[in-house]
Amino acid sequence: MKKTTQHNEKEITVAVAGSPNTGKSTIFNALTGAHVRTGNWPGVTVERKEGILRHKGYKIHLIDLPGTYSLSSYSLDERIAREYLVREKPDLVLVIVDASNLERGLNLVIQLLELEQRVVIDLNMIDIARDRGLEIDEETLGNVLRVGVASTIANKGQGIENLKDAIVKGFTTKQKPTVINYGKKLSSITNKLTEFAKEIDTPYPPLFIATKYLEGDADIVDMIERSPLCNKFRKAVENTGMKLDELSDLIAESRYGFIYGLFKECTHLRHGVKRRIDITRMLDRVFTNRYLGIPIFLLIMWLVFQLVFTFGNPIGGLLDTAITSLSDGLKIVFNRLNTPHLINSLITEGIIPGIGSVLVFVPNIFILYFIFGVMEESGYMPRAAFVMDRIMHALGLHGKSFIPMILGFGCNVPAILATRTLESRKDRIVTILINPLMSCSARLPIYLLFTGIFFAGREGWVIFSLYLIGIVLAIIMARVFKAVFFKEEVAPLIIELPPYQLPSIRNISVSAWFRTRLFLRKAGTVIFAGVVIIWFLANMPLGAEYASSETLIAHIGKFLAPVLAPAGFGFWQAATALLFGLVAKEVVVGTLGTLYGGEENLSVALSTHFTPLSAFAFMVMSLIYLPCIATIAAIRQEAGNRWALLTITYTILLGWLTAVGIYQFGRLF
Amino acid sequence: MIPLSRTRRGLYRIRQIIGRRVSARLRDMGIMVGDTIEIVSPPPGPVIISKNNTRIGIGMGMSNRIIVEPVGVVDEKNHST
Repeated sequence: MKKTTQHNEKEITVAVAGSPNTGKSTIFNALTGAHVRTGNWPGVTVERKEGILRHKGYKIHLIDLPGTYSLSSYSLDERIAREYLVREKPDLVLVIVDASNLERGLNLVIQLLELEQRVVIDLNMIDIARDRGLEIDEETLGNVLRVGVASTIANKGQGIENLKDAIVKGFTTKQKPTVINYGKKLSSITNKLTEFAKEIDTPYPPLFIATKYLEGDADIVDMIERSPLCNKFRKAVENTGMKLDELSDLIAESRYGFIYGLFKECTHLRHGVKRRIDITRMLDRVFTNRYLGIPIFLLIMWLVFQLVFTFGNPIGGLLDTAITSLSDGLKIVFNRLNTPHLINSLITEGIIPGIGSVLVFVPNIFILYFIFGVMEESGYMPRAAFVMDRIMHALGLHGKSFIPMILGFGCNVPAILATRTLESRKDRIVTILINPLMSCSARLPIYLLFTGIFFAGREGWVIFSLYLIGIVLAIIMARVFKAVFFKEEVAPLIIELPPYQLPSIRNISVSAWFRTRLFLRKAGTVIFAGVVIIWFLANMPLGAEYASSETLIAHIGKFLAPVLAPAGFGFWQAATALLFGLVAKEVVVGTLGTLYGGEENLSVALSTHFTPLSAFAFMVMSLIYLPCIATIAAIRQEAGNRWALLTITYTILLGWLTAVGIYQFGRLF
Repeated sequence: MIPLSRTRRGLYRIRQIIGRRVSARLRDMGIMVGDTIEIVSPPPGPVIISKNNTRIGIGMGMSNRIIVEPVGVVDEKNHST
């Protein structure tokens, strides 16, 4: 759109489209290098990546569209992709196609052409196609569709320069792309609807509206139904003497007929050798095995947490020491400089310990994200969803609900965003509602602190039991929500199982670091604000001794404490810490640290206040009682105010009931 | 003709897919009525089908809605595109 000439550089915008598992993000990274900016798509929390590629005097803005199989309105991702294309009108769309699955890729290409986009096709993983004996004649493909074609092996970095050339060439070569002919039977109706559609004020091309209407695309049908043309459309369909279902099948048939013809024209099969599929086949026999699949999955999850602790904790310990010495050192410096006591205290007792208690857990979180990255890239993640479908189905949930639930162990915010892969809104909402019960990594600091003091030597098991409690409650609540709000059937699980591959350690480290940095940024802003507020409340009114029982914070805590007494921790420090955990769960540790005059005093202070039983009840409470602000915000954005409010209410009630239940039951022994 | 939920390992042709959204979804993923698919991981439980180097996991509630007929014995080499 923007073609301003600056330093003789032409600026163009290129959207990158493609199905999942085609290597789209690898190509995006290869094209843009380090110049990547991430944000969200407007109005939704789907990640949006933008990068810049400079090539042959062009400054190319690359926009990474969400991975989609098609351009219907089946899922949120598909809606985002097509809304972007029709509203923002990029100069070019680069479609990444899995060369070994050309027909499927062409289906997306054709829909893009019907959306009146200028397209360049990248046949990625061309090596795998060749290994399977499939030779693709790029020139014929390009000539028939009148689009640019390039091929790459992105994971080996091959073909990227050619692809850059193809992008520029695709922009400079002006030619009208092919539009497929739907055949005699259909063309009368499509032509008629296309004519009608021209009268509608919409950014969608008329032909796209016509075909999508016939295909029963929910959004387009809705748009027509609400327009004055509704009757004209219905009449036209009636006149064909066919039902909408039949027409929709016919559309698909002719489209695939065209694709099949094109496929035959531009490919030929050699007698090929299979290579990779056999490894996948072998691995799938084990990982998706009827009997072994679930135990293996649970074993993997158990290993994940062992790794997070055995590798993460020592590094975290070092960081902890460093931060404590920093704070101590500064205190001495400030004293020498005669810095006012209030500022000295704010920095050395408020800010540094608060931020420090978050930083300490960065190694754990990084490792967790890293392992999730390995699971995603290796191709195991969708298998986990597949394997869990049995159990999930029995629980009235979708197999795909499991991935957000796994992600919830990392952080509930991306997990809630990940629910967008669920096509049915109802499944999505149930999955969102129970997600806060998945114990996120920000709750780990709380567990680590308390288990270290009260359950030394058995930390792993105790923490594992907390995760399990969360899972069990999530399952129960899912049932409850389904029974109360949604009585309908679960949407079916249809999930692609990509070939297994060795994950790229570099990519995974980068993305794990990126996610960890997001966590840190959160720690730097929200938590910082939280910690400063706590420090303020813990120092006010002026003159009160820091965090003493006269301070404001103590009054809030005292007000709430009696409610928590049945759970075994009815003292104001615990109540206050929980209250501020709303800012972010890890702030609970920071608050306790501040209230008891520093992290180093915690183990003594806590052991006098808590028993192992009440410590456990406290951890359970921290797990359930309320999602952090960021999570609530995510729920609100993805599901709406009503569901966010429900989450707040039910988690408080459930947390209190469970903690009280555990404490009272435990006291019987 | 039998539903996917009663198949064994081997090659089958899809005769019918019940449900519009389901068939649209499968179509987008490259699976349509008339296609020959291979059952890689048979029922009971979720099923894995394969076509063109693509494996698709089909969940529990779904496999009753895909009606297939057998087209031959297990022959991994003749799995044509």
